[in-house]
Amino acid sequence: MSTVNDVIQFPVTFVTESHDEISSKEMMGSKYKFWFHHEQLGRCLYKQTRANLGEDWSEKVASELAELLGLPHATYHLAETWEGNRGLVSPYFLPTGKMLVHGIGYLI
Amino acid sequence: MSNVEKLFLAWQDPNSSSWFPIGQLTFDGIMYKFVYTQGARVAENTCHFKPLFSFPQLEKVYTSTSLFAVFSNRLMSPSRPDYADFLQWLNISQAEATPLVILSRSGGQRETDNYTVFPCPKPDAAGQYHLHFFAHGLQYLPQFAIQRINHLQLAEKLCFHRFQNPDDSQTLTIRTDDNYIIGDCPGYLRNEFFKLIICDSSSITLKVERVNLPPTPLQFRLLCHMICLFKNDFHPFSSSEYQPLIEEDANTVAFSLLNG
Repeated sequence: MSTVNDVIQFPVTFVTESHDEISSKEMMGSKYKFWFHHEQLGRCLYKQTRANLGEDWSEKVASELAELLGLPHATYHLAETWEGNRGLVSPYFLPTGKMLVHGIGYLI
Repeated sequence: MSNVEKLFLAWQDPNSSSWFPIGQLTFDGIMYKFVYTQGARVAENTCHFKPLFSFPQLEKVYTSTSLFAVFSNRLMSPSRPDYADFLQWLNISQAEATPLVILSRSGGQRETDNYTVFPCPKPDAAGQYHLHFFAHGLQYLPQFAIQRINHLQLAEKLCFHRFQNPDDSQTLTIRTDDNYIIGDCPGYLRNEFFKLIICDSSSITLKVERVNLPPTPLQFRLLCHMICLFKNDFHPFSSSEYQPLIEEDANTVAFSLLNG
């Protein structure tokens, strides 16, 4: 039987203003996002979430479930910025020299 | 056809870091058209370039009434909270912000592939060509150079400077009148302009178009305006590698009216 003490707490990655300054914009999608170099995680995508919609924890839960199920997935870390905004940080997953082809590229 | 907008698609070989113009996107107001250029064949022969997933055959013309995903993926959605700021960084008004104008100015580079886009400029009434680009390489500059950029004035004169780099014999840096190095010329433009800059620098004027102050990312900090007067009937981007691989009326692959 689980107890409150069994609840897993995930760390929150801090995104600084200097991360933002040397970032490059990611244009795809509806959310504010950029690529930056994180000191421990390497090249990462920061994706800002809207307040009170659970957009951060839902992606985190999906990432953790995929890990438990052994499915290939992007890794997500909960994140907070220097301005107090919440979001997610996802480390770059492409092998060196490889390019990402989005699903829409198959259709059009 | 004089109002046809034209962009080039360039690919960077991840091993040699060389840039190749590999495709051409045009828009006549109704139809978008993509065709590979002869630079794609050069890239294929020298650096194992493979066709894009969306355009699998080199010798075809691809047409669509909506912008191909390869290009629309490089545009920011107008619904994004940072869209208005982004247009300001590019120095583009809402009224002139068509997809090709935005791509021409932003370069459309992404972290997840090795492509960029740049415009094919047309001469103005005085026969001058105008190109805008963001200075590259600011993330490698010392803080005093960034401070100098932050204090640049609108239309301040800049110049190109050939930098002796053992890894790259054609590095072109951007320099202020008081000798601060404040960035690099984008590699995909350098191919076309290096010889002109070195042999006849009086043909080129370079100046500050806009400085986007912090917290704007360094990627979009310094927008430059290059004005070139070509002599002896030379036209930029007229060499073979910028020309279509095939005649555009042949082998057309028309796409259905998908709303991507």
